[in-house]
Amino acid sequence: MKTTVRMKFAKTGRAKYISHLDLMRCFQRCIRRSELPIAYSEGFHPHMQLILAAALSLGFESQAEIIELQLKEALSFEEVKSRMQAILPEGIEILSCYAPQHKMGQMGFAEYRVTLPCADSAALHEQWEEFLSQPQILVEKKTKRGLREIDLKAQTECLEVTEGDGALMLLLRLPAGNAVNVNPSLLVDTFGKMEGVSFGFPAYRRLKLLTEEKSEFF
Amino acid sequence: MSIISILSKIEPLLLQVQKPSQYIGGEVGSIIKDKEKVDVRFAFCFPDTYEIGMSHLGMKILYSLTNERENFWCERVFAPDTDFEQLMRAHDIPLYALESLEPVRDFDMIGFTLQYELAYTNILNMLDLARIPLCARDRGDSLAQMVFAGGPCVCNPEPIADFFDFFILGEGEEVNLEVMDLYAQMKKEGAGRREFLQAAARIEGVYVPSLYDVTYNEDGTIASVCPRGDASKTIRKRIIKDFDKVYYPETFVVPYTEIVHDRSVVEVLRGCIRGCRFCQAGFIYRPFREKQPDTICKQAQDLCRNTGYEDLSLSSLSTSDHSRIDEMLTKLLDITEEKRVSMSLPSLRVDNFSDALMEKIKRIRKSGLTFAPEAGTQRLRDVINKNVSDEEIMRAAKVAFSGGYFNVKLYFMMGLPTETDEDIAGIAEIADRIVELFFENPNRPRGKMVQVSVSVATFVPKPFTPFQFEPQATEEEVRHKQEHLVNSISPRNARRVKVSWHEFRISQLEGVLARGDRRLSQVIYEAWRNGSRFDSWSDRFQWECWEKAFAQCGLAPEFYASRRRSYDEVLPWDHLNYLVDKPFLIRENEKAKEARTTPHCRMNCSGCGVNREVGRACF
Repeated sequence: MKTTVRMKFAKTGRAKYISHLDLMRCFQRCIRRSELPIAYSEGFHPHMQLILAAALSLGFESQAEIIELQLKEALSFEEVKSRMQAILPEGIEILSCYAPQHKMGQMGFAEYRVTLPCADSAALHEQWEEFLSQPQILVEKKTKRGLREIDLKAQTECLEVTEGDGALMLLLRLPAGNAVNVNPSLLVDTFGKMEGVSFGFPAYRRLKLLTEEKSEFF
Repeated sequence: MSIISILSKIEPLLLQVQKPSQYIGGEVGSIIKDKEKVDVRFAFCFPDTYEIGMSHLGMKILYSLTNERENFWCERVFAPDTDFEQLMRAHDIPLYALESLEPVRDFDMIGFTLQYELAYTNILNMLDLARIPLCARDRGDSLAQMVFAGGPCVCNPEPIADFFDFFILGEGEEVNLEVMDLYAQMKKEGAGRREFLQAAARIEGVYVPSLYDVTYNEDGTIASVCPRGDASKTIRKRIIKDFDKVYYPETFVVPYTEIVHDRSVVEVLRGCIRGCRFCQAGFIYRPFREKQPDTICKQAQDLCRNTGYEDLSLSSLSTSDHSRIDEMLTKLLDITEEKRVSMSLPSLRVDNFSDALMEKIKRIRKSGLTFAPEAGTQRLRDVINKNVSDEEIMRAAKVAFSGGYFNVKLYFMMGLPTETDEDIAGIAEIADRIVELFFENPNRPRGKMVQVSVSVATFVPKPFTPFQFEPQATEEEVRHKQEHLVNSISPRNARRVKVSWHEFRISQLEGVLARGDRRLSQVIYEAWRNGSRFDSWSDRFQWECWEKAFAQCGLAPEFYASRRRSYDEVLPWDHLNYLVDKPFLIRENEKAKEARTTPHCRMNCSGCGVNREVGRACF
């Protein structure tokens, strides 16, 4: 019996420098090593039936990545999870394993935590509020069809701002669907170009993947 | 400096460089140990980028072998690409190893593998980035940062002698551990560098260049190489006697970013029976030894299972010379098909490229085939002892075409001893004839155009070959030959035959460094200071850096590259014993001049001297 299994995994530490394509290859090799009964496509060049949802930018950490496998025979979720975890590299951790509940196309949003190192987080906080209070934040965005101007203001939900010791933390919800997709680094880079704004090397972490209705994507 | 500080320093930089995962380690299969619990920390350095170094089989073998020992920790170090090098220098980041992310400077032993001469300036650049004194004599008498090298180029290490404390000659599987054991012991005893080197020199295969004085004649040739104290007169390379039982890794470090050879590799045989007179590997890796088919299958199975690689390749100088190749391939194909692994077979010879072998490869894959006739006429192939005939080349191409192939790659050399314009025109004739063969095949694939790629390297005479005495072709000679080749290709095949060659200056420099003496250390140093890096990459090679360096040192590249050596000249590598006798090399060079061939070792022993040294007949 062919079954579809989805797994949520974290990508942290050194693993954040694995690009999307390299991660795909890494999973293929790890699955071969796990000897899980993965299904292959038909045809002259059969390939593993495996999908990595929502590509994560190079350098981002995440605790909400999703991989989907087609298995030739049914196995318990617990077994799939433990066999995968046993062979994955440092920094990639399987968090849960389950049957898919949403279609991949139903993915709509993602939540990110952005950490901006700075000397005075209260001052940076003020600048951030000023940045977001603009009526429009127009930027050029590279898309498949060339450069397009978008309004970041309309796309951004800033859920929380925390003044930490030596850093400002932002909790952002941004579109992450097929139609619209906004990378938090685009927003942060635009903020960084605002006059008088300066902060250190930003750290990004994806916290959640959400459906179009903004409920958790499973 | 701790892991936190290097990591925190490189983190903001990694996203500014190409392929950042090559600088961060943590790959599947990489080995992490507690540095407090090991006796010797060994930084294994490959003097080229990650994608090249990670493809090197010898490093994989020695990495796993060393790490099997609980008290040793071997880590990997590669040359940073220029984009990252600039950032490292700007942000004060020392060269670090990929497992611990700790500075190479903190290691006990720093070993380089020397696979090609054109990586020499990269060694200096890496030592400099590591902040280790470049010259061995400037490293003081502390034991740590013992810098050494192994690999094929070590058969003449004289041009880089100034930069290394010692060299390891021959195969490393045994001697590396012996040297590290000695180091561990002397570290406990609190010994110094000089004391260690004296003791290490007594291990077979270890060459300590500072224990030898070189004097020169007025004409620039070597007058003498004299051992100091009780150092032995000659240093003998190491070989593994029981090759079937030699250590082989059960897994590899599997990189994230794509590397040149990204697959499982099993070494099926070592050495070569052929004795092609231009080929250094054919002499310095003697004697010929092979693994049993069952050993090969077990190692292939282990590797595929443990790495998850979908491709398997067999490694050797000439895979089809394995005495039980049919049995080996049949067994391997059964395994690989079941496991959905695809197998590739480099290094096949045209003279035993049979229909049966073709059948087996057909089960493998269909892309292109590569043959290496090396020379354009039978006469010249006899000179170089490449014992393949025109008929064999054509038969192999025919078998390939009927097997459905339509791309054929041909490797040749130009500038070989005794070569004439006729020999060069012969290259074009072979290419033209192969195009015709394609059209003579009634079952040729429709809609596909035959492509014959002719790659012509400039011949570089190398130590320990019969041609070690010969001059390398000059720039004018090579230009003429290149023009003659292009003009000899039939105009109607202009689009079907693609000709490419190496840049002359790169080949010339390779020739200089291959047969050079100790005085070249200064030239290499100056070339590096002038900005030379990655000399084997034609897009990075800068002849001006070298030209200036030779002038600064008052030396001429022609002295090393284009001079004929007399048989009684003291060659810079004469005190190194690679088990092949000099009189044998002279005999072979004389036979070459008469275009007389020497049969391969299985057919008839030609008395190269290896069997006497090994203490048994090779076959």
